[in-house]
Amino acid sequence: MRYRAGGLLLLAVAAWLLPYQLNRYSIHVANVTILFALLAIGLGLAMGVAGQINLAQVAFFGVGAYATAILSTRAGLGFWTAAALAMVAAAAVGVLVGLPALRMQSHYLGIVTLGLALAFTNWVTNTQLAGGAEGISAIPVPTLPGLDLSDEYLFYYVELVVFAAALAFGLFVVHTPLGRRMRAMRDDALAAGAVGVEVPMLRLIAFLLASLYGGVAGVLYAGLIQFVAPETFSIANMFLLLAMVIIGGRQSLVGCVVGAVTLALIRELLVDYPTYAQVAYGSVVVLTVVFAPTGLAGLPRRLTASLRRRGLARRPAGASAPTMRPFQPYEPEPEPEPVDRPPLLHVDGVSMRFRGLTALRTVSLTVGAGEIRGIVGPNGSGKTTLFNVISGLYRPAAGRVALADRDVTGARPYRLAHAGIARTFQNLRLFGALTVRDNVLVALDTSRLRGSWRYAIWPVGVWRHDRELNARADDVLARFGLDDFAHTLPGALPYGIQRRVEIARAMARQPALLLLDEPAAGLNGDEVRQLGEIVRSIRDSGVTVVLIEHNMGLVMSLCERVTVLAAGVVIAEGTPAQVARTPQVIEAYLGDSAMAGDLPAQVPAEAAR
Amino acid sequence: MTAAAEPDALTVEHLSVHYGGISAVRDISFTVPAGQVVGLIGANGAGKTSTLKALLGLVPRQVGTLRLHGQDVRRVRARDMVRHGIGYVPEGRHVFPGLSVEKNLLLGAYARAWDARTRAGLDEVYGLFPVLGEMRRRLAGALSGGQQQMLAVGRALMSNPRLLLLDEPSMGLSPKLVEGILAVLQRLNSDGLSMLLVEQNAKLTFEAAATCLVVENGVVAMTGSSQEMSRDPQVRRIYLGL
Repeated sequence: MRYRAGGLLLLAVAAWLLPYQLNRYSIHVANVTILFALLAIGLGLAMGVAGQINLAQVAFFGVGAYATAILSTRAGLGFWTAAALAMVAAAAVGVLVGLPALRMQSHYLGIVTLGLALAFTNWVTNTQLAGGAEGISAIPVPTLPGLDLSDEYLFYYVELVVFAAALAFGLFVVHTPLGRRMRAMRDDALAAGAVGVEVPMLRLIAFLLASLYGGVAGVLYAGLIQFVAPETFSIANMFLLLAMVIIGGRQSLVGCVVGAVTLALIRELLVDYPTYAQVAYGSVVVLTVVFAPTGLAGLPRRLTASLRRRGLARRPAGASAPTMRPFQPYEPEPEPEPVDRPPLLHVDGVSMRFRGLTALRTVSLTVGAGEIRGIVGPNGSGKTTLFNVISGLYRPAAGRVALADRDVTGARPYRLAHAGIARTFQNLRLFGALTVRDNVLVALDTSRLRGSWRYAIWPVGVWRHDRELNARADDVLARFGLDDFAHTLPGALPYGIQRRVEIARAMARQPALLLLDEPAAGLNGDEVRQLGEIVRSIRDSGVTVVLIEHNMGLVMSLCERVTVLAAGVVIAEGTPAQVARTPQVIEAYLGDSAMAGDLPAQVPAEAAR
Repeated sequence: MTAAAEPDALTVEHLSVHYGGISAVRDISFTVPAGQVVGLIGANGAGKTSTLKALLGLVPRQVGTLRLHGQDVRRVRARDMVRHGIGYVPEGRHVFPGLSVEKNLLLGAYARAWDARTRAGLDEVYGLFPVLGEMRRRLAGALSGGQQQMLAVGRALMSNPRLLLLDEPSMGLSPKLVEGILAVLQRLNSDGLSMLLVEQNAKLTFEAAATCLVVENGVVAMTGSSQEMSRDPQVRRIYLGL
């Protein structure tokens, strides 16, 4: 930490002293380089952090520059007034360009944003207002009291201050709730929705941030060059920008800056060989993608990992194997009388079809508050589909779902998460590039995205909120015995521990209803018993639990009632003992049960109460 | 070659796996005799999956001896192991979701020459898992979890292996299908296929395997016949949950 602060100070001093070493031309290159770095940070936020392919960054840059140019020359506004309005314009365009992201993702989004960027260059080339192919010249020099900004040496310091603030703000976003949610959405948008992340809004915010960085760079460009023309905002420059971000490491803002500086300087060296320059960028991008997919920013970590694998680097001290500790039970809530339990979840006549396949046929069930309900049934009988309908991933073809008497049929997953539903996934959907702790942190944050304005007005409030979340994350991790794995990526953990992390993440939501999809899969006998204790404690803390499970021993000992699905139809419902005696259930599901096994000879005492 | 002289299907000596600074497997040695099923049980994080992956060379490892049917395969790359007669059913299925069931199976035969036996292999898998035959045109991603599990087993069989490594084949299967998978494993074994079976369902393991190893903290804590082990009180408590 101290090294890092020292390094930062050194860099700042070097940047401050740099102009003393540079001639007139070099300072111009430095000024342009800083603009590229600003653009790269914005692109890195949208693409690397939020996972939104954005090929319109150069258009955001253009809107900022052109709006400043048009307003200050044609409308006769002062430079700074024009700049402020230009920022508003860039932000508006950013949100507009982001709208398609609500409907499509990945390369489709890339094509659409690229199309919009092309539309922008075409428009400015062809419209009289923007000066056509000649562009707009004689933009007034920005004024600051006591500074002559027509001097590029002084303009450098303005840019440097803006850049430092912009980088600091970007890093602040990445490491606080907003950025954490963006990274979660990038890793798994579906799971992010299930832990309450308002995915559509967040995608727009990602584009908004990218456009703000583009707008700032555009305003500074107009002030620096005092001339704008279409070719500056061409697709070639968009791809140069993309190369900067990929080479630098798109998931790290500092990497984006390093990439921008490196490529901007290389571009300067190759300025006399334009043909080779394009080939060189292309090759470097390909080499980066193949040999260093995390970019320059990811290299140090990859190198130490590879050295360690060969036994060359020092292993971290105290490398005793981390272990999963026992679960610390919740404080039990006073249990209400079972008779007056109001129904919490009410599924009524739900049907679900996938292209000719009927997955659910008029399924109804009612789960009382504070109940542990088991759902069993043969593979492919529609159990997970039912969970997906309840948690909002699927909109049922017919029927309704009500949570505590509120109709929530077909509501978006994040709305249901805020309404109190949390779930785990059969095939595990943890956020792969987030640590275990960050996985929990994303779920813990119940604030709404509309509160993000605080980033602009009151960052201290954001920081306090984040610190409070961190303290609560420690509690959750400790409760689930996961402290040792706080800084581990989930992919490096054994299956059973990943399952525990998913339950911890779901419980971080403090839900009213917890849906567990095969929580005992991949656990041995002792671990299944621990799981039973965890689920019981969760219920005793006042949470209603519905679980899909094949381990009949667990179902028998844990669930008060069991619903049996077969081929999308409820074929039985009752106490575990009743259900296990139903001939249809034995026929469809249990078989002769020698192997179904794990069926304890007698039902343990806990189930009897 | 007489039966007595037939080399073991798998011989492993001094196998260790480290991830970063953490050792997942420490100096494990065991054999899978030809035509036999050996079970590997242990808690989550004990090193079972790491052992399987290390055998295939999917994770960095140190190993003294690694022989497949008597042949040294220490230098064989992971992707060539399948040509040496090893089949692998990974934990958590890992089917190709965007391909049909049949194409998933055919990819399992990728390492073999494409011939009449490929067709026969398909029919064999559909015979073992009729539901896969019914869904042969459906995308693997649209199958239920349990059906994907069957597909993963079927895909491994398509390379016509002599040794099958199974990582939790019963995960996510209904009790009836667990019985079914046991029957499949027993049938495959009676046809002469050797297996190394990693399972959390100790009961299934004891039924399927003659010999079992218990792995704890990266070392073999216990070895013995399944019969003995299923009577061991500690094993019963920890692994059978009884």
